[in-house]
Amino acid sequence: MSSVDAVVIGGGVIGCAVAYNLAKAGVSVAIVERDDICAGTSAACDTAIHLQSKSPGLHLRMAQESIKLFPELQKDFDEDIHFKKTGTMIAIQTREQNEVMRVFAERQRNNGLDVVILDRAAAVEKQPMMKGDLVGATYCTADATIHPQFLTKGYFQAAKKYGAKAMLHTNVENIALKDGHVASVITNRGNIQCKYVVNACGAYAPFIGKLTGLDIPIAPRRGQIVVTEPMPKFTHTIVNCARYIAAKFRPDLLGTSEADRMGIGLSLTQTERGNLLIGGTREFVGYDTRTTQKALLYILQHAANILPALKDIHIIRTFAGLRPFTPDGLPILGNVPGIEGFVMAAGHEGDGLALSAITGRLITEIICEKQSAYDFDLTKLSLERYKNLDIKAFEAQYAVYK
Amino acid sequence: MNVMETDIAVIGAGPAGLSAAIQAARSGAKVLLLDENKAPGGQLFKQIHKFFGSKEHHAGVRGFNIGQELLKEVQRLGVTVMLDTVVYGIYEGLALGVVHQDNHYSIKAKRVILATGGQENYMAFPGSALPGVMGAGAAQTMINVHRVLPGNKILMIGSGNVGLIVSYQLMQAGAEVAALVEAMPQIGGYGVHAAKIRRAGVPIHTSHTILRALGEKEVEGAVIARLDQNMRPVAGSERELSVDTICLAVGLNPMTELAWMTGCQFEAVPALGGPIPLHDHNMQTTINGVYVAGDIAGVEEASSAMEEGNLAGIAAAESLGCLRSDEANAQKDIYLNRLMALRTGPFGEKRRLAKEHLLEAMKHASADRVSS
Amino acid sequence: MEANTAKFICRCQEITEEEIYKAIEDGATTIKGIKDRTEATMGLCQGRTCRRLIERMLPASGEPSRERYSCRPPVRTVKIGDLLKDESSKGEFE
Ligand SMILES: Cc1cc2nc3c(=O)[nH]c(=O)nc-3n(C[C@H](O)[C@H](O)[C@H](O)COP(=O)(O)OP(=O)(O)OC[C@H]3O[C@@H](n4cnc5c(N)ncnc54)[C@H](O)[C@@H]3O)c2cc1C
Ligand SMILES: Cc1cc2nc3c(=O)[nH]c(=O)nc-3n(C[C@H](O)[C@H](O)[C@H](O)COP(=O)(O)OP(=O)(O)OC[C@H]3O[C@@H](n4cnc5c(N)ncnc54)[C@H](O)[C@@H]3O)c2cc1C
Ligand code: FES
Repeated sequence: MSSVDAVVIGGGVIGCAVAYNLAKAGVSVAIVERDDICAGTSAACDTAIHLQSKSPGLHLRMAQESIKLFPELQKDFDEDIHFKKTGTMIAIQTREQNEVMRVFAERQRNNGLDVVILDRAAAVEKQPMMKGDLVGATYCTADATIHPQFLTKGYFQAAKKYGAKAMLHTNVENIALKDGHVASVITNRGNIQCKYVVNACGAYAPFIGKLTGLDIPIAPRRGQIVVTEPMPKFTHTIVNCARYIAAKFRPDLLGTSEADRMGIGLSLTQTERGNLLIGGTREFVGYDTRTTQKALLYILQHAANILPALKDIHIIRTFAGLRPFTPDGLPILGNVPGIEGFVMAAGHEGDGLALSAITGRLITEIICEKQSAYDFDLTKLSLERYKNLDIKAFEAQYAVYK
Repeated sequence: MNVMETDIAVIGAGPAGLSAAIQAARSGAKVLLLDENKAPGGQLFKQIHKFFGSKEHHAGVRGFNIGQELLKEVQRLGVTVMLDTVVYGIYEGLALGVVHQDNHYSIKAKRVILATGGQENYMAFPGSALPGVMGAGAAQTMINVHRVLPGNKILMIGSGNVGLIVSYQLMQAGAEVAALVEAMPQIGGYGVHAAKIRRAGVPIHTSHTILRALGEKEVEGAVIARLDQNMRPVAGSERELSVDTICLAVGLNPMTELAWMTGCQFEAVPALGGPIPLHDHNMQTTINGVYVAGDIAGVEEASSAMEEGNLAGIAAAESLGCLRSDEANAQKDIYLNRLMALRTGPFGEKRRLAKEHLLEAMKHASADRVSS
Repeated sequence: MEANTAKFICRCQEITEEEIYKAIEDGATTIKGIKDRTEATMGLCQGRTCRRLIERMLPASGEPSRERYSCRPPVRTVKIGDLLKDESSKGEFE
C-alpha cells in the first residue's frame, strides 16, 4: 500500500489547483482521477474569470482575491494559460432589468468593483457588434478570460513538478476510516494510506460523500454552449445579458416559457484562436451531458437578438457540462463534522475556474495551518451550514437522479 | 424551426442510400432521402470510369449512369428527396437536426438509415499542410465535376483502386503524373487499372513512401524513399521529384459521426477502414431503429453498398409492418447471397472475414443489451 | 512552426507530432486527453481529418482504447442565420 499525506480525489480544475498548492507547500499529495484530467466539467465550460457575475459579499470577495493570483500562477507554469483582462459588458434589455442591474451594480461598487451602467448609445459605441435589442449595458474592466483546459493542465503539470503523484484512470471506490479519522483511500488500483482526503469531484462530489455517510447537497446543473468557427476579433469584452445574471441567482425572476425554464441567458467570449463560445443554459436534468436542439435554437436566437452580426457566422460544435450547483450558490469548502481529515472542495457552480486559485490556497491553509490568512467567514463555506437541509427533498427538487 | 415527420429517413443519397430508399418505398413506407449535395449519387457521380464487378452490379456501366438509373427509380416511387440538405445532428428520439436550403428543420423519423459513406484518410509528413497537398477524391471532384486541373505535375501516394483510377483520370484530363508511390511491396488495386497506368509510362514505386513535401508557400517538390521490410526508410535511397501537387490516396474511413451520436456500439476493424458501427444481418445497429449501409458500415464498393442498402431498406420497412416477414426474408435472401458472391476472391475474402467478425461481435453486444 | 517544415498531425489547429507526444508523456491515453492538452481535433473539421492519425499514436497498452468519441452536433459547419431563418419559430423565445 502506498502512502501520502493527502489524497485529492478529482482531476478537474479544483482538484488540480488544490494538489498544486499542497505540493508547493511541501505536502506529499496524490491526485486520484478516475479518468483523465479535464474529464469532467473543467473542459466543458466557458472561459470567464468573472467578477461581475458574483453576488456581492463573500462570493465576490473570494473572486476578487482569486483573480489577483493568476498572473503569479502564469509565472510558475510552463504553459500559457491565456489569462487576459478583457472586461465584461452585460446587456440590459428591459426597464425592469435595468432596475435590477442598477441595484446589483451599486452593491458591487460598494464592494469595490468598478461597474458602470451605459445607455444604449454608449453601449453600442463601446461594443459595435452589440447593436441588437437592448436598452443599455453594464461595463466593468476587472473581468478576465482564461483557457480552462490549459489552466487545469497548468495546475496539474506544476503540481507534478512540485512532487505530486498523478494517478489517472484510478477510481476511488471507498474511503476507510479509523477512530473517526480518514485512514486510507481504496481504489481499483490499490489502497493509498493518507491523513487527508480532499473531495474535489465537482458535480460528482455527493458520491464520494456517500462513501463515508455524508450528505452533500450538490446537484448537476447542465450548461450548453455553442462554438463558432474562428473569427477575427468580434467582441473585445465578455458579453453577458441581464437574464444570465437572473438565471444564475434569481431564476424566479424569469418567466415560465420553455426557454425561461431552461435558464437561457447570454454568455459570449472569444478564444485566442478566435472561436466564439456562445452560451448558455442552466438546467436540472440529472447527469445528462447531451446537447439538445431546443437549446441550440434558443441560445442562438437570444444571442443574435443582442448581437445580430452573429447570423453570418458558422457554428462548428455544441457541448454541455455539469455545474456543481449548491443551494446558496457558494462552494462547499473545508472540514466536515465528524470525520477528521475529510476536506471538501466542491460545489463551485459556474465559477470553478474563477475560484480555483483561491480554493487551492484556502484548502492548503486549512490543511497545513488549520486556519486561513484570509478573513473569510469559513462557516459560510462549510458543509455544516447545511446540517438542517433535507437531502431527499433537495435531490427531488433539483432532479439529481433524474 | 419547421417540424416534419416520416416513417424512414435515409441519410446520404449514394448507392447505399438510393437503394435503401427504393426498397423502403416499394413496401409502401413513407421515405425521406436527404443528401448534402446538390445532386444525388454520392461518390458515384464522380465516377466516370466503367465499373468493375458483375452484371447485377452494372459492371461496364459508368458510375454516373448507375446513379441516374437509381435516381429515376427513386423518383418513380415517390420518395421525397431533399438535396442541398445537411443533417447536422441526431437528437434524442431519432429527431434529426437538418438545414435544408437555408432553412432549419427538426425531422422526427421512426427509423433512420445512415448511408453517409466514407471520407479520405489524411497522412502527415513534413510539409503535408502546404497548399498543393490534397486528397485524391478532392482532385477527382475538381477534374470530373468542376473540370479544372488541380495541378500540372502530380505525385500520387497510394496504389489502391482510387489512386490508380484518379491517376488515370488526371492524365486523361491533361496533367502529368510523375509517379505513384506505394508503401506495400505490391500494388493495392486491380491489375487492369495498374496496367493502364504502366502503359502510359508512369512508374509505380512499390515499397516506397513520401518523406516530405518541398516548397515555401506551396508544393514545389517531394522527397520519396525506399522502405525496408520493417517499413523504415532506407538511408541513401531518397529521391527528389519535381511536382506541384501531391495527391493522397491512402484509403477511406467510414463517416460515422452521426452514428456515434446515436450512442450505438462500435468495433475497430482495420480491414474495413476504422471503427465500424456493430450491425446485424438486417444492418441494424445496437440502437433500435438505427440502420447503417454502404461505406459507413465498412469501406467496400458501390456494388456492396447497394446490396447493404437493399437489406437496410427492406428490414426497416419490415420492422414498421410494411412487409410481412416471409416476404421480407425471401427478398433479404437474394441480397445476402449477392453480397456473399461479391465478397469472394483475394480482395473480397478479407472483407468477408471482417464482416463476419462484426456480426459475431454484434451477437455479444445484443446479449449485453438484454442482460443489462 | 512553418508549414513547409512542420509535421502537422492536426492541420486545422496546426498541432505537431511533437506536441501530441508531449501530451502522451503528460498522461494522455485517449483522443479526449490529447484534445484537452493540445487543442487538436478542435478545428473546423472537428477531428475528421486528424482523429485517425492521433489514435494511432496513442499508447496501445492499458487504457480504454474503445472510449466513445465525443461526437456532437453539428457534423458540418452550419450558418447561425440558417438555423434561425424560419418564420414559424419567431417569437418562440422572446
Ligand atoms: C457551460 C458551463 C460554463 C461555465 N463557465 C465558467 C466560466 O466561464 N468561468 C468559471 O469560472 N467557471 C465556469 N463554469 C464552471 C466550472 O466549469 C466548474 O465550476 C468547474 O469546472 C468545476 O471543477 P471541478 O474540478 O470541481 O469539477 P470537474 O472538472 O467536474 O472535476 C471533477 C473530477 O472528479 C472526477 N471523479 C469523479 N468521481 C471520481 C471518483 N470516484 N474517483 C476519482 N475521480 C472521480 C471526475 O472524473 C472529474 O474529472 C462553467 C460550467 C459550465 C457547465
Ligand atoms: C475513385 C473511386 C473509384 C471507385 N470505383 C468503384 C468501382 O469501380 N466499383 C465499385 O463498386 N465501387 C467503386 N468505388 C467505391 C464506391 O464509390 C463507394 O464504395 C460507394 O460510393 C459507397 O456508397 P455509399 O452510398 O456508402 O456512400 P457515398 O457514395 O459516399 O454517399 C454518401 C452520401 O452521403 C452524403 N452525406 C454524408 N453525411 C451527410 C450528412 N450529415 N448530411 C447529408 N448528407 C450526408 C455524402 O455527401 C454522400 O453524398 C470507387 C470509389 C472511388 C473514390
Ligand atoms: S485536422 Fe484536426 S481538427 Fe481538423
